[in-house]
Amino acid sequence: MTKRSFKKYAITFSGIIISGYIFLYACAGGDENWFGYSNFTPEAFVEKSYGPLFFDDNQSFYYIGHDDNYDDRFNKMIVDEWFIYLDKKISKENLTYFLTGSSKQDINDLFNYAKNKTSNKGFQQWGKIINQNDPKIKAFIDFLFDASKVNQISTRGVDYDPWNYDEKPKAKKKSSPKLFDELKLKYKTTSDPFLKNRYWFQTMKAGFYGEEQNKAESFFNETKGLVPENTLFYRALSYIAGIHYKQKDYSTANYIYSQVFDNCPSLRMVTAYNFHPQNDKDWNEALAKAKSNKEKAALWAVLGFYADPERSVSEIFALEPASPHIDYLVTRMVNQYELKIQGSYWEPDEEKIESVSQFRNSQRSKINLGVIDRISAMALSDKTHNPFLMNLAAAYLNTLSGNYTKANDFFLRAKQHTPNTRLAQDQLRILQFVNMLSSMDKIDSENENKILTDLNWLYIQLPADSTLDKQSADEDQTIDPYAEYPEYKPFAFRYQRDSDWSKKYISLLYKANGDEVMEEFFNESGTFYENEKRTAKMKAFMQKTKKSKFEILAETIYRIKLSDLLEYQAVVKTFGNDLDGAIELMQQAVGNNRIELLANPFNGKIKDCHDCDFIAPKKITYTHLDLLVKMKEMKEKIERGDDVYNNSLLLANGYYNITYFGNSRIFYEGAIIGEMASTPWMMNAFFAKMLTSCDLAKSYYNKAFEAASNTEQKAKCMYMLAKCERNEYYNQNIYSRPDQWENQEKAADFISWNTFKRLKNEFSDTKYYREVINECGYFKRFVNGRN
Amino acid sequence: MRSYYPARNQLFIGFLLIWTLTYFQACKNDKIRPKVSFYYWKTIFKLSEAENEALLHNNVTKLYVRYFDIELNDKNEAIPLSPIIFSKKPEKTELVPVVYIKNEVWINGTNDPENLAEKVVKYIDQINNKTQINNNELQIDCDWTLKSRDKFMKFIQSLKRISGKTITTTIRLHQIKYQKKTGIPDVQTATLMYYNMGTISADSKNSIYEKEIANRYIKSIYNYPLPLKIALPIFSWAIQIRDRKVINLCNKLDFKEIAKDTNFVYLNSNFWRVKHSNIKSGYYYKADDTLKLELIKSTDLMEIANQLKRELKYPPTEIIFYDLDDFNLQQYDKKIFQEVCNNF
Repeated sequence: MTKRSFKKYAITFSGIIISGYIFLYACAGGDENWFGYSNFTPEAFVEKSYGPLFFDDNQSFYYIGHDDNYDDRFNKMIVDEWFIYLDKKISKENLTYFLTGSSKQDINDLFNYAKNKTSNKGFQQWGKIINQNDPKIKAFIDFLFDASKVNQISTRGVDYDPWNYDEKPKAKKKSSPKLFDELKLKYKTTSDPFLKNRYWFQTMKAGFYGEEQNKAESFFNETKGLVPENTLFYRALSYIAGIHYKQKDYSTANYIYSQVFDNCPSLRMVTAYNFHPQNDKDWNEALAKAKSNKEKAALWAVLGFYADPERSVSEIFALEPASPHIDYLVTRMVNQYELKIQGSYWEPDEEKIESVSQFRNSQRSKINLGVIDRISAMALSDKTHNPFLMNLAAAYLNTLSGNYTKANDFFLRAKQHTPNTRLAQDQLRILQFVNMLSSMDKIDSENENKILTDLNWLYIQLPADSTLDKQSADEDQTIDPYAEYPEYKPFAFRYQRDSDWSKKYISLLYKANGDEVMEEFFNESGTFYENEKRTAKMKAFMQKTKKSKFEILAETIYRIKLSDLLEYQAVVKTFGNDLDGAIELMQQAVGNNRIELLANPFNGKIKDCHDCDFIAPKKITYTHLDLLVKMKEMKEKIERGDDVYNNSLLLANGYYNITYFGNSRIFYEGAIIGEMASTPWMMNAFFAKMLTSCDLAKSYYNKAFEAASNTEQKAKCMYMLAKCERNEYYNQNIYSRPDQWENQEKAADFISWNTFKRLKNEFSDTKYYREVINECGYFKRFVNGRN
Repeated sequence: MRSYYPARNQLFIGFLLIWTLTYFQACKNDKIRPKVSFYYWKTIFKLSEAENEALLHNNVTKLYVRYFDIELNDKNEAIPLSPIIFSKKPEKTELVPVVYIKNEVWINGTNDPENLAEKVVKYIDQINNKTQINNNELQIDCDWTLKSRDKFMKFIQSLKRISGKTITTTIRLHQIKYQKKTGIPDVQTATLMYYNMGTISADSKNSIYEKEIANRYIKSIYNYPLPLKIALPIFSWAIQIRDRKVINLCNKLDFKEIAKDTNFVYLNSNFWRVKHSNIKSGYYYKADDTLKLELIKSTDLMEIANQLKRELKYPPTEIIFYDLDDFNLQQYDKKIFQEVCNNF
């Protein structure tokens, strides 16, 4: 009978398992507000390879969460390079199969055919498609044959069975020293530079994944001056870092990882993930290993991802002011500040913000003023790699700390360097707007005009554009938002926080003016309509014909519309038993008054089973307005003395069903009361009192009881009254108690209600009584003397 | 209040009657003290000298070893994760494989419980065969909820039937208090995990054990129909706090080391402040971060024993300490495990 959300009980106890290194998640809400605390879009400033390293309070890597393409990160690059090398004689599709698919058997077949010219299955399939007489293609097949041996020890293969213990990842087959030596020889004897480079890498790979790690490192040191410093080189260098990490030589490992990070953009995320100093000692040793300021800056750049971007930015700036690594660290730093101060915007942890001055002080107290000075100095130095970012960061931090004039100076400097992208331009605009609004102490028509254009952009145009952008991205399958790096689409633009914040801020300004309606428009309070006078003010505003442009915008962004307000007033009148007034209002609530009820509102069943009533066949479907008209008709009949029993019973059912307990909750679930209130605990107290009261239903059940002409009818009325008494009991003992969920454990499901007693004592000889016993377990247990 | 498994409850009652009679028959003659056991929760099985000594010193005959976890892969199929590798075969002590199943396996997974039970049994057999281990018992650790209850219960039944072994489960306090909703697994005994009670937070409460939280649940233990073994915590960790938000959980942080380190200043109770930014044990501590140490003192363990023995209908046969590990053992006197058991 009572609906209880199990979720409320579920205090979570984590499993026995305690992992070694846990990222703890802050509450981030749904996907929609991913970065709801941020105005500062890293994509507007920073080069793509840093994408996963942008700040994300919710997961280790921005947007993608975790790195799950260890096996295929380079597949596209490998295919592209071979495609060119083989003079486009093998299609990319076939190359993808040979280089990255389950092609081992075909490779073996082609290799064997080249060796002994005996036809086999692989040759039959591919012989006509690829020309093995072409020396480059022959070399390709030879290479694939060798590389597939390395793959056997380096990957699990595509047909890996997770439920086979023998195939568990750590039980990989080890390479034999023979393979390493064979490949090394191939490297030495191959003259073609493309192939030579690849054999060099395969030798390193075989050494790393096999047991020849010392040999691999020696080989690397012997040959590193002879190979080009391309991606293969840095992949191999990462192997060397891995070898040192395994030996717990953290300083070397981290030093090497930082160098790969510095020089190989496609490995930035991987190296940042693997970089892991253990203590100050090995960190300082790694720094000592760096041979130049650039190398030192690289170490600070990776450390900043884990540790403290503020410190890293300062250190890098001192070493190498033009380092591009500063860019991503500055965005991390600003984003972290935004997260820290978000409390001042709305739901502050401890304080309730009542005025703009209180808001400003709260925000300012959370910013490290020293950092603002440092970032400002960097921006003014004109030595940084990205003056647009540095000046904008300085401007924004100044805004947040209340230095609006200073911020403006930095905006002007930033403007001169604005990249020619919409994202960058929007970024500049939004931060300038934040500065302008933040500096406003009062709202009047002059200030309204100042912000009107920007507000239209922010509240109307940007959401519409962003929806369109999302749609086009969805339609264009080539745009994969979960690709390796976050796509640089306009919808990455973070305007949502500003949209929310500006509304709260403007609302505070109107609050200071005592303008309750405008205050409500910009910040829906949830309690506004508890007060009739306020409701009337709002109605008058909505009904007036002459409105300023600003007022029109304010009303447009407000969720509740005039018809919602009228519908709400009609509901209140209904619960006040003023059906004439309710009908008059409901008639004006255009649109809402045609919403259909999901069940017959005049049902009066033993069990309150809403779903059963929803699916039961209905002869008539009632709209909100139909219901009221019908109820009025019944009421008039009762007043006239026309079939009082039936009309009273039906009217009582109608009143019952529009309460929280009935089958027509939809009647009150309009925009103001809301449909989220699935239990009275979740409703605000004002609504809960009205919606859980069965008093009106009870008065008509009593009327029906008085007018009943036989005991069957009386029994029915008595049971309906029992339902009302039960609901009252729940209201008093469960729904209205502050210790709600604890309490519901203590409160009994049912007690010996007076109406139960009367039903048992006075109507036990009726058919209806037996029906109740069959259908209502509580009553049955009551009759049997148990509860 | 209705029960979800009336038929099985009757079975339980029957079983309990027999168990109770046997138990009290035994109690008449001599008070049985629970035995000391441990959980072993590492991916490579290789007992250190201190760990071996702890087993010997406490006459441990049973060691609960995490064999593997079960999680979902990106296709929502249940797969084993981090299976154990036996670097050395254990001597004498009987091993009980423990399988930790993430609750999401039941909620979002595509595997049917019967099929998963088959896979689990086969996989455990494979591990056992490789190391020539035999075991008669298998423990399942899963924080099942109302949503996953039905599948979990079916899984346990299938596992019982397919493995032919004694199946036990871990159980959390909330599953005891709300047993009518979350259900009671069809097993002979369950192990009550008497830790991880609160949320990991920046406040002064201890998330591992907090008497106040325990008190909210403890009264329900008496009415739980299964005999319970008790799992008690001997692990510790530090919670790193920045700007009043928890940012990291630092395992096995030696606070004797922190006390000596001038980068940290003692604040009060279990709190420390980072004076200078530094890197320690693989974690980066920023100046002004706060560290909150959460550990269970010997006196806490004794108090828990005192508290629990009053609430348990039947004295437990085993106290399983979580977890056997050099670092954890170092934090306690060698006699503590026996003393805690004697206190039950």
